Amino acid sequence: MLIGIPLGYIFILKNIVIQLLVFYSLIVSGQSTSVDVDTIQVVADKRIAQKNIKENIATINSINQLLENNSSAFIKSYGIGSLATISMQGGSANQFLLSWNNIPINNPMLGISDFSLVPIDLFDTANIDKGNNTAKYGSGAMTGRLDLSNNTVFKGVDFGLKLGVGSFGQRKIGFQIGNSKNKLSYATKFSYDQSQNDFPYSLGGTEQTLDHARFNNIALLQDIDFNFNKKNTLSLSLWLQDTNREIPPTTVQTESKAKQNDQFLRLQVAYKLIKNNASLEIQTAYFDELNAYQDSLILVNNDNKFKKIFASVDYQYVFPKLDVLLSIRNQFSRNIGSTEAYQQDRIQDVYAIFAELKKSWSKFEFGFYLAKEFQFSNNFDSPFSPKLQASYLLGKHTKLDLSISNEYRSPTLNELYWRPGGNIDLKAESGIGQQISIRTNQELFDFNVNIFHRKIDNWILWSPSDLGFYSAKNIAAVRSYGFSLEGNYGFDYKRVQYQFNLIYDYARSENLVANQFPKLAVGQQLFYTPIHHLKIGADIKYKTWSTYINSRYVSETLGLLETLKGYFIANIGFQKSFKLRKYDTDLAFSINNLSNSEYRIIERRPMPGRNFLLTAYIKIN
Amino acid sequence: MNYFTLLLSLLFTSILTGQSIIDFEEYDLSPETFLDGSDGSGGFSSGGIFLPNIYDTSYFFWSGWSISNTTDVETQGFTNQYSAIAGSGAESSSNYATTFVSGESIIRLDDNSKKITGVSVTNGTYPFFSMQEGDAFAKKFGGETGDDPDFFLLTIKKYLDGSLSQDSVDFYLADYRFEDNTEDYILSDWAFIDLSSLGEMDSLSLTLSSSDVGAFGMNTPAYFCIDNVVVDNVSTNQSIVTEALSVFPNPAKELVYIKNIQDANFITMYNSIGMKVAKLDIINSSINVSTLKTGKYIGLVNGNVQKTISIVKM
Repeated sequence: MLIGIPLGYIFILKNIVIQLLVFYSLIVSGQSTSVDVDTIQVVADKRIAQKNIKENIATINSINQLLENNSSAFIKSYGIGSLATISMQGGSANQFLLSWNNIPINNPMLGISDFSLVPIDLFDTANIDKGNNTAKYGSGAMTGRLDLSNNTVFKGVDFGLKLGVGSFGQRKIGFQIGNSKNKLSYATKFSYDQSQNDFPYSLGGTEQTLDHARFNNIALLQDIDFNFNKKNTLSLSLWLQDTNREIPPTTVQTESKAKQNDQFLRLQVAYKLIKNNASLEIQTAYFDELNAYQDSLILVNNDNKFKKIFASVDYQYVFPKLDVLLSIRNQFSRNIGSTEAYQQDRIQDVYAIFAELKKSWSKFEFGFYLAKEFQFSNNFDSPFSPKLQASYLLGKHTKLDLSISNEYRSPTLNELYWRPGGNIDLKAESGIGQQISIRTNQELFDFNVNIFHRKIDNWILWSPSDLGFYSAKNIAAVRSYGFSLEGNYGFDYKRVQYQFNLIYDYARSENLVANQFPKLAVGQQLFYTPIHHLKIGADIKYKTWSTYINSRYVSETLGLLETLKGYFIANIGFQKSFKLRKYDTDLAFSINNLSNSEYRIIERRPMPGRNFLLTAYIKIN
Repeated sequence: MNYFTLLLSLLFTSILTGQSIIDFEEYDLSPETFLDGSDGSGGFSSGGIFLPNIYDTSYFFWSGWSISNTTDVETQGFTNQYSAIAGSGAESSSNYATTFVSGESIIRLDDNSKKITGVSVTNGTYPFFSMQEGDAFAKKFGGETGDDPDFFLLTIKKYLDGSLSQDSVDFYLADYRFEDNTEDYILSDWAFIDLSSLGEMDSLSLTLSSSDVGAFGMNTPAYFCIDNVVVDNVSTNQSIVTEALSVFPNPAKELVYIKNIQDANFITMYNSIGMKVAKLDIINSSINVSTLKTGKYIGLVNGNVQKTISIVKM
């Protein structure tokens, strides 16, 4: 009996549609900025912006928080532990690539990454490469890439324990233990988070409490490195995770019984050889992931699974006398998607080749990148993606960067195969992107201006078909343009260190083709994409005491149901470092949403008001 | 009773009474089941009306009409998409029709029916709970404060000679626009809508609108149910005698000649389940049945029951 199947698909599809459109929102700016967890390099001013994670781990509690406070990234979160996505320069969430040790970990079925599923405590480094990066990283890096990685440590035993307690039932437990002996090094990192998320919010003049919003996440990361010698390294990394969350009702829904469970196993093995002017890196990976959605109220139980098999060979050679770098990367991945809506397992075999050629002169550098993907499992071929990049030193501390590239995003498995509505005739979203940036690093400050422009055709939207279900179509074209300003100013005064930072983004993402459903007018800003985004922060440190305040303003956005008001959020934190017996200890206390602002990023989804978090980190070595 | 006899008896009943009530009870459904068009029938004939259905075999997706006797008035969500919130057909009958409206849903009248003068409607269980409790996409009517002037409106218009009328009959399946919230309602029982003001028609167009809309259109699930469709047939003041005309050859593959067929232009052909399948022109006292599938057919000369033919297509 087919009861429920047709509309079941509509429901899930509508869910996806809304998610994808919701994800259009995210903005940021252009240019490459490194956000290093271990060495948070907010802007490239080494004198003032470097912080050691050992001093700050107690105050960094989520990747959302890290990126929101230290980069120009716009993170759209439904609340603590809820769905969170990132995007750059007015692009959609699936136009931004998330990778782990250079291996893409975006969900190949949806094309996006949920940043709430990234436990920050597991990683040492998160590097953002903003804007126009298809030629370097492949499909999905149209607006940028964030790579998560860990630093191999070969310096003895290292142990750390992190505990946290906060508002709305937040609890955190994490530990990391590392050791190295002779040629072997290993690091084990564990993270557990939970939250009741039962925060109060105002509704029609009365106070309500968010219900059915519990979250818990348990994750383990195991790194093992074996140094045959200084030039040969074999690495194994295993990432296991199990995340459960309840999906709360909207403000116009009596109750919700929806739940989501995400499980994954991610395993990778890498071999790296460095010899003279050349390096060779071979990576293989296997991912097995589950996204299970249950709703006992409406009798829905869907398991969405995929497996990924990945292999790459990366060869680099430096011609020292010519100041030339040549890099060739061959990459193969097989994604196997499985869900009731596909009716059968769907396989996506993708071979990609990336080439990079860089030539440097005293004040000038020229780079040429090229990417080409071939998909064997269907007739789809991504376009070539060349990129030209030139850099010029305008002065001792000032650099000008120019780039032009062809960008694309290949359709996801859902866009191709979901029933109903998947469309195997889809083309890749593609277009030309340009960026100009000027960066200056002076004694007391650094400043970066980035201007970007990108026009993407064949933008994929889910739109109602004649039969009434939603279907993926190449119906939109979007022009994104804008600029970002990032500045940092720091100084010492009477043994007190002061640091101020400002980030402003102006991002227009204008639809170029009118459409009935979703309703889009020509020139209309894309959904959930704020035009203005301002962040201002300050850090003050005195001996073992430190404090920070950061704030952000997000201008009004156009939602699918209504216009969402702009909002202002400020957070403040305090930290004290001391010896607990003989162990280095950091104690941190943070107050988020200091002014208890009522705001919404998504319609009908309230956000938490003022909340607190107390964390302690004890380090033993 | 074979289908031909059934069809003729229905036609005669219509003629004798001038009005028939279509209750879909002739569909022999097992308890708690439905017909969603997955058999490729393209719709459902009952009495003098036809309810079109589109079923996509690639996607197992249907829109238009279904016939149901499911009685689930508790399960929320789309998995209960065929049920009427009233828990039965109108007047406690078993069967009723549920529609998923994609743009508009159509009730088509056959050549023997002149107008629909009334129909009973109720909400589907799925939209009822969506409006009462809210869901992940649609709002609970009344909104966050309970005071939102929400509505779920059924608009009925007629097609006549290919044109959609401007006149309409509006019926609120849910109405929260009252100053006094205690008057707000979501229809949970069958209600009869008088459509006599629409006059003669070829078909009815039924559309839904809601106060809960977004960029993707209406958020409220686009379903409702009908039963007891009252159809006025051909003139009730005349004594009509049906004449079965002789045809040859019969069975036939291509041309069929009809005796005493003067002053006739076409014959409307119905298959063995009473579904209209073709309108064939009469040329030189003959019709060409080559486009019909193998089977039994009944034909109404000039679309009425005064003169009929019965043939078997080889």
